[in-house]
Parts: sequence; structure tokens; C-alpha cells
Amino acid sequence: MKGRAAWIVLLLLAGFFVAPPSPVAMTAAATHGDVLEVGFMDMPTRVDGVLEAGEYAHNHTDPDTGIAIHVQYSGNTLGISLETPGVGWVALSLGAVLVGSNVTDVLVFSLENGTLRSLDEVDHGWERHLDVAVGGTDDIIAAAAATTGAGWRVEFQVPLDSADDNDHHFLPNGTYPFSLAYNATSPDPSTPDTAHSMTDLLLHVGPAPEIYRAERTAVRIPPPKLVAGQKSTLAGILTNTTGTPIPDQPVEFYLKTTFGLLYLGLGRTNSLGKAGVVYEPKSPGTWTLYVAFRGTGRYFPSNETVEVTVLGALEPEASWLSTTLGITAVVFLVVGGVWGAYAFVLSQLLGIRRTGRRLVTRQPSQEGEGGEKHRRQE
Amino acid sequence: MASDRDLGTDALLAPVARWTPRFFVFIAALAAVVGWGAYAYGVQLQHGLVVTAMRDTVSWGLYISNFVFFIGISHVGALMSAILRLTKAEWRRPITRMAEAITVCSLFVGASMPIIDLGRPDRLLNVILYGRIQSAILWDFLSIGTYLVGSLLFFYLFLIPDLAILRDRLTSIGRLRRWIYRKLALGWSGAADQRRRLERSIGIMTILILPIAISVHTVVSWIFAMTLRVGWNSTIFGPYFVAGALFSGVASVLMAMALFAHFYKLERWITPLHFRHLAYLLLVLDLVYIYFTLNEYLTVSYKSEGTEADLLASLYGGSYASLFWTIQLGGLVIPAFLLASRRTRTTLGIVVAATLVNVTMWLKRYLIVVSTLATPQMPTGWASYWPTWVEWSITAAAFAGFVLLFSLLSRVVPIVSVWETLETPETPPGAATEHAPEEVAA
Amino acid sequence: MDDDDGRLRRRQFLTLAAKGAGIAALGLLGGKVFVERLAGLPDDARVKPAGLGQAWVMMIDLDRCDGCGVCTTACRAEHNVPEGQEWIKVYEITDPEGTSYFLPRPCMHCENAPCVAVCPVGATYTRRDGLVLVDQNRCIGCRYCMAACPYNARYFNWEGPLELTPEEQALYSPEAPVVHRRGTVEKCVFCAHRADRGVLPACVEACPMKAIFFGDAAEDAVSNGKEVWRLSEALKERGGFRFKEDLGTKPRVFYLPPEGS
Repeated sequence: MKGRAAWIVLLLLAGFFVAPPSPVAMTAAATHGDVLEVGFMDMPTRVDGVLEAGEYAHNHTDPDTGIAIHVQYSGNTLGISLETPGVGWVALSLGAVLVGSNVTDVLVFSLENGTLRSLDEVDHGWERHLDVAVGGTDDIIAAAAATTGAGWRVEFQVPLDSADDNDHHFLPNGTYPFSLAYNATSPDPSTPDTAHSMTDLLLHVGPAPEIYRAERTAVRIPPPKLVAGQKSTLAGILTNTTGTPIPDQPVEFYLKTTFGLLYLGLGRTNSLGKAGVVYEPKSPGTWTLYVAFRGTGRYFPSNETVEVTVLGALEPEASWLSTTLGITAVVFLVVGGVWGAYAFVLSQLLGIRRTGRRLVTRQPSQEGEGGEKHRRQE
Repeated sequence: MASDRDLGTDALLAPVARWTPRFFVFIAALAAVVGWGAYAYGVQLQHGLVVTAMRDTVSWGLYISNFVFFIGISHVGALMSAILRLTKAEWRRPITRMAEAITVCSLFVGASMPIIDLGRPDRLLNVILYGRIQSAILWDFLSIGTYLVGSLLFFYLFLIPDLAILRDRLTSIGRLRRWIYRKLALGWSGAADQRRRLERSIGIMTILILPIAISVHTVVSWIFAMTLRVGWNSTIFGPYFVAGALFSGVASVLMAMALFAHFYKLERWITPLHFRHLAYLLLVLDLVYIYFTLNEYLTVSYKSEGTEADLLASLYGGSYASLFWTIQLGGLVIPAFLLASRRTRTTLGIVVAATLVNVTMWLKRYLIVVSTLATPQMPTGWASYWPTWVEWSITAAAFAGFVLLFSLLSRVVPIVSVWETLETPETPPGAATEHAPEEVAA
Repeated sequence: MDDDDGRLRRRQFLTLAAKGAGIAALGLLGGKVFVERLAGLPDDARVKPAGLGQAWVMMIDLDRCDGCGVCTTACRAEHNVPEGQEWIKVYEITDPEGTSYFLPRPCMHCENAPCVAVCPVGATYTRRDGLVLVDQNRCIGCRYCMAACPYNARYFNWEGPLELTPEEQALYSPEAPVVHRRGTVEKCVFCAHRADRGVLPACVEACPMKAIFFGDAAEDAVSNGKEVWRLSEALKERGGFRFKEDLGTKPRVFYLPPEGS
């Protein structure tokens, strides 16, 4: 009797877990082996920290950390949710940015006093750098967080294929390694993790349906003629691969500087696909302009880098050399003259000695007493 | 006349001929102080400048104050020998050598002070190897070096005839000393062409030594004036320092005169007349220095801009007030009164005034260096500086060293120039143009 | 007799003139060497690495600075700064109206640096990209530069080891003063060793308020690690100023005044 009751309870429980209305069944546990399937969905996620029915395609709970990860992609936006059992930071590390290197794209999130911090980092082995600090861009499109009992959840979006070389680029049908880590107590991202995933996890980006495949675009900027101190317009042209201009899309203009991209402005493409921004360069020289189209659900992002030469009279180096040369010459002439006079005096002293010796040898009887004899003879 | 002259010569040569036991004790005491200072420097070399009281705010202290002071009093040689010679002031003759000796000794001591102040004295050669002509320290290097060589030459030129006298007269001294005198006398016998050469050399050096001397303390002042610090950023520093140098130099000569007249029994040559002449000179320089001081402080106080106001407040009524007013009253005002009034212008009064001047001029150098560095440039409080035993010891050794060198010099050559002084009783003042006693002989 | 005298005098004068001219010529030769050194500073170590930076500047937003002092600690950790020295120092200032704010003061790396002007041996020098560095191998410790600096930004090693071990010597360069010798002067170097690699200075990366910006004035862009701002626009909008502008030192550190001042 008891044994049969137990089996019924188990079956009921199993039914509960696989019955459709159950929130757990909504997202198919889609890990066969260690591969997490990232399915294509018609609608991108709504970034509000809350998991809605039908929002995500697949999910997985990492056995080593206990982090629950939900994923989907739509167009070229990758939507991810991470739920951590602790109150500290949580991070998702997306496999080698360059094949064979130890450079990883890391996204770190922390919730402190109700404020969500999101960091787009690139890590070279142990060295951690913000993308922005090494010349890249912060490509987290949106992020939101909510507390969940003992832990918390972050929902965010990143482009599948961002314009930044410090980010991982995903393509449909591709398989990519990733790993998870979190800190149970500290929201300070500089603290080490308390747990991280130990197995080799893989993301497989599923195929995109034909009709929703995003179009590839190209943006280019013809090299402008720039003069330092003068305003000119930078023009970017956005087209698809066949050359048809794409109107009414935002195109961003940046200057590549030592420590990151300097935002110059944003232009909206007109019917000819042209977007412009007014720019006044400060100094002459060779600079690198970078124009980017961020992409939408319909269009893939694209960018172009172009070197421009800014003309302008270089400030002539203040020629202080002549003044210093003059001063130096005068100083050395004067000092030289003085020491020349000293040399003359020395020659006079030698002359005195010569005379003295001559007088002594001429009058040997007065050797050593010449002066005295003279004086006594007054 | 001859016996008179000989007696005179004997009296003047006596300190050279005979060294009293009292002198040896004196020298030993001075050498002990110098030795103690050398030990203190050794401690500094071993542990670093941390043994001083200087820190990142007050980064210069006693050493640089001593440097400026000693280079200052070195100007007296140029003043006495050159200026007074050019103006044909005959009364200068007994005291010129004293003045020149002060110059030489103080230059040696003064030039050693910045080296003691260096953090890396082992790299001193870098100043020659990598020297930058735009730096005031390089100007100092060139200027003081040139002045030192010039003063030594100048001193030596005026010494040659006296060396001949020493060579001929002093038979009682050791063979080594006689040999040195003979070599250094260059076979001087008063021959016509020797006199001509000497005269020519003296003429050139007299004219040359003046601009060199003026340049020396001017460039020393420019070390301070070329910075942007309150109290130092002043255009008047060049002439101010030169005036101060002459001022303290004359005071030093007066002190030396009093000591030598008494201890070497030279009252016959260092007479109240000399004291009075120098007293007038001191008074004039005092008034000139007061003029410069008023210029400096009045103009700054009138505008009282920014950080200058902080420094002035401290000088007039703050932490440096006692020092400031001691210097102004004790060093400028009181000596002026002592020297101006006939009643107090006795030899004693003059020497007291001179001592006051010298002491306060040293305090003045200290004030210039330290008060400016202690004035806050950034929003912090005032820094404090009170020298440690190492700095005091080295300062004492500097003064002892100076007195030691000077005393030794006074015992090696006659401190009153024999050949310049003894012809004066023979010839009426102003008429004598030939300097060698031998001229009277056939 | 007169003729003889005259000839003698003329000869003496000519001798003097000749000797003086000779010495002067030698002196000029020496001067020429000095001038060459001034012009080129031929020491290879002093030429900046090609390509990176033309005119480094720093911009500090006083509105964001909360006086926490993390910049000082990060700088100390980066360079092993000796005790008592604060290469970037945070001052608290109360202006006449009564508002108080914090002002971090690194070395200003002045374009018209008084410290470079007065150094007798050229131990402190300005690199072509504007940074003012100190060569501890050459400094004689006269501390004239410290007397000349109006910002109290230079520090002296009053104690410590006199010389370095060969390993320490290998670590040292004027761009990366991470080991220190007694008797020499040193200061903030705008993390030249990091800037040469395209990495922001330690204080910039460490500031939790992201108040310190660093960049190339020629690019007109400064970054605090999160944001990249247009330097000229920021200065114009916020009324940026330089500390002690009236002294004419032309410092490379700009300050954005705090709100409401």
C-alpha cells in the first residue's frame, strides 16, 4: 500500500513539472550535454528584470554555481537573463574573442542599494580592462535587475555582432564557449568570485528563419577635407549590400583617440542614405574617424574606419634657442675675458720671477739678500 | 728713520715670527669645533638629510643661509682694496689685507655650504658634465669660481713685496717656511720692471675685481629671485643683496680690526682714525640698506596681494615677528644711531655696532630663506623649521673654520700690509704713488 | 723712452687681448656644447616613444571628487611611493563664500615649468609629449626645483637606500619611478609608463567617482575609464580653470569647478 502511494505521488509530481502551464516547462531545459541552445524568437526580450511567459527560448542552471541562465536572440539582439543565488556580483564570460587567445569578453553585473552596475569588459588572462579603457565601447544595450528571494536577477541585451573588436561576435549556427561566475556576498566587481562554472559550457546559436534574417549593411564615409579650427560636415552613407540606400537610421560618428572613442555626434540618414554631423577639429595631423551604425532587428550593424588628414599651420616651435644662444655667448665671452685677464696677470708674475732670478744670478754676492741690501742703502 | 721703520716692521712681523702658546690653544679649540662639525657631516652622509630639520616644505635651511652670509661678507675685499684704491683713500692701507683675507676665507667656507646641503654630493661632477647655463646655480658656480680665483690672485699680488720682506727679515723661523716664502716671493727685489709688472697687474685686477664681486652676490640673489615664491619674487634682489653684502662685509672688517689691534698689539697702525672712517662707511651702507629694505617691504605691503599678505602678516606680527623686528631694530636702527652720534662713535661703540650688524645680517639671511619656504603655497598650514644638532654643529664648524683659516693666515703673512703702510710716514698722504720701499734706495 | 713705453704697453695689451680671445673662443666652444645639449637633449632615454600622445592633459571634475583619497592610495601602490610622499594629494578648500570642496593635486606638468628651468644638471626635463620627468640617475639633490615649484608637487627622499641593487636598477626608468634612492627628487609622472602603452594612469582608473580624466589635448579627448569627453567642450561648458593660472606656469591639469560656484 505504502509503496504504491509513493509512486502515485512521484508521478503527480513529475506531471506537475512537465505540464504546460508550469513556468518551468515554458522554457525547455535545452542542454544536451553541455550545450545551451540559443533559439531565435520573433520578439526581443523586455528588459525589466522579470521573466515573462514566452520571453526566453531556452534556459540552463549551472550545477557548479547555481546560476540560472535564460537566453534567446531576435534579429541581432541577444537577450540573456542571469539569476544568481547570492547578493554579490554575477558575470558571464563569453569565449575567446580571438580564436586561440586567452582574451575573453566578460559582462559583469552588480546590484548595490538598488543601483545596477553593468560593465562590458575584455579580459586578457588575469588583466581586466573595461572596453572603454582600451579603445572599445560599452555595448550593453539595456539591463535591468530585480531581487528574487535570497538572490537577484539581471536581464540584459547585447548585440549578436557589435562593432567593437573587444566583444564576442556571434553568428547563427555557431557554437561558442562561455562560463559563469558570481560572488555570494560582495557587489564590488574587483573582489574574486566565490564560485564559477567548472565544466566547458557551450552556446549554440540556432539558425535564423529566412524571412527574419537581418540585412547586411555597409556604412562608409568618404574622406572629408578638414582644416584645424574650421567647421566642416562629416558625411556617412548607409546602404545595404546591393547599394540601395537605407533612410531614416541613426549613424554615429566617433574619433578614435588613445583612450577610447570620442563621440562626435549622431546623424539620421536621409532618403539618399546620407547622415551628417558638424565637426571642428582642434589640431592638425592624421586622425582616425570611425562611423558606426548600431543595427536594428532588421539590419546588421556596420562600421567603417577612415584616416583623415587635418590641415593647418602647425604652431612654430618657439625659437628660444637664439636668446639662449645669445646669453650663452655673452656669458662665455665675459667669463672668457676675465680668465684671459687672469692669464695675463699670471704672465706678469712669471715675468717678475724671471727678473728676480736674473738679478740673483747677476749679483751672486747678494744672493738671497738683494732686497735687503737695497733697502738698507737708503 | 730707518730704526723707526725697522721697529715698525718688527712689530708688524712679530705675529708671523712668533706663535704664542695662547695662539696654539686658540687654534686647538677652533679645530675641535671644526672636527665636531666634520663628525656631524659624517652622520649626515651616513643617514641622509633626514638628520636635519629640513622637510618637503622648508627644503632649505641653515646651510643655504650660511652660504648666502659667507658669500656676502666676501665682498669686503673688493670694496676695501678696489674701490678705496680707485678713490685714492690712503687710510685704507693698514686694513686692505685684512679685508682681502676675509674675502678669501669666507669664499672657501661659503662655497662649501651648498655642497654640504646637497642630497648627492657624490654627483657633484654632474654640474660640470651636464651643467645647464639657464640655471642660477650654474651662474653661481661660474661667478664664485671666478671671484675666488680673482681674490686669490688679488691677495697674492699685494702680498709679494711683503713676502720678500719675510724672506729677508725672518731668520728665526724654520727652513721650510723660509723656503716657501722665498719661492712665493718670486725673487722680488724691487727692480723697476718688476714694479712695473706688479703695478700693471694690480691695476688690471683692481678694475676687474669690482664687476666680478658685484656679479657674485647678484647671481646668488638670483637663485631666489628667479623663483615664483612670495618674498623672493622681487626685482630688487640684486642690488639689495649686494648692498647687504657690503654692509656685513664692512662690519666684519671692523670686528677683525678690533681683534687684531688688541691681540697682535697693532694699535699704532689700526688707529681710531681707521675706525672712524669705516664707521662712516658703515653708516652710509646702513642708510642705503634701510632704503632698500623700505623699498622692498613698503611696496609689497601697500598692495598686499594674496599669499604675500600671509607672509607679511607673519613677519610683522606672526611667528617670524620677533626675528624680523630684531633684525630691523637691532641691525639697522640701533647701529645707525650708534654710528651717527659723536658721543657713541667711540671705538667701542663702533665695534658694538659692527657686531650687532653682523649678527643680525646672519639672522636676516636665515629669515629670507626660511620664512618664504614656510609660507604655505597650497591650502595647508604653516610649516615649521627648527634646526637639529647636525645643522647647528656644521654651522658652528663653518664659523670656527672661517676664524681658523683667518687666524692661520694672519700668522703666516703680516695682517697689516708692511710695504703699503710703512712708506706712509715717509711720504705725505696722497703724494706717494710708488709702492715699493726699495724705491728710496739707490 | 716714451716710444719704448708705448710699444711695451701696446704689446702688453695685444698679449692680453690675444689671450682673452683665446679663452673666449674655448669658452664659446664649451658654450656650443651646452647649446647642443639644450637643443637636442640627445640622451635617447628622453625622446618620447613615437606615435603615442602629443600633449597629455588631465581634467579633474571637482563636482565629483569626494575627497576619498583612493587616487593617492592607487598611485602609492603603483609606484611604491615612500612614506610621507603624496604624488597626488587631495586638499580641502573652503572658498570665501563658504562652500568647501576637494581638490586633488597631481604634478601639473607645466608647459612653462619653473622646476625644469632651474635644475642645474638637467635632471628634470620636459619630454616632447609634455610630461615633466625626473632622472634619478642624474639628480644631485640640490632641491632648487622644490623651491621653484609653486604647487609643492615635488618630494625629496630624505632617507632610504643610497644606491639600488642591479635588479632594482633594471626596474627603474624616469617614466616608471618604482624604486627610490636617497638624496633625489621625484613626483607624479602622469604614469608615463602606462600612457606609453595606451593605458590610463592609476589614479584615473582607481577613482570610484570617475572624477579624473586623462587624454591627449591634440585629440581634444579625455577619458576617465568610462566616458570619453570632448576636452574643449567640457572646459567651455563648465568654466574649466587651471590652478594658479596667474603665475604663468601653464599647467596641464584642468579643473571643472563644483556646482554652484
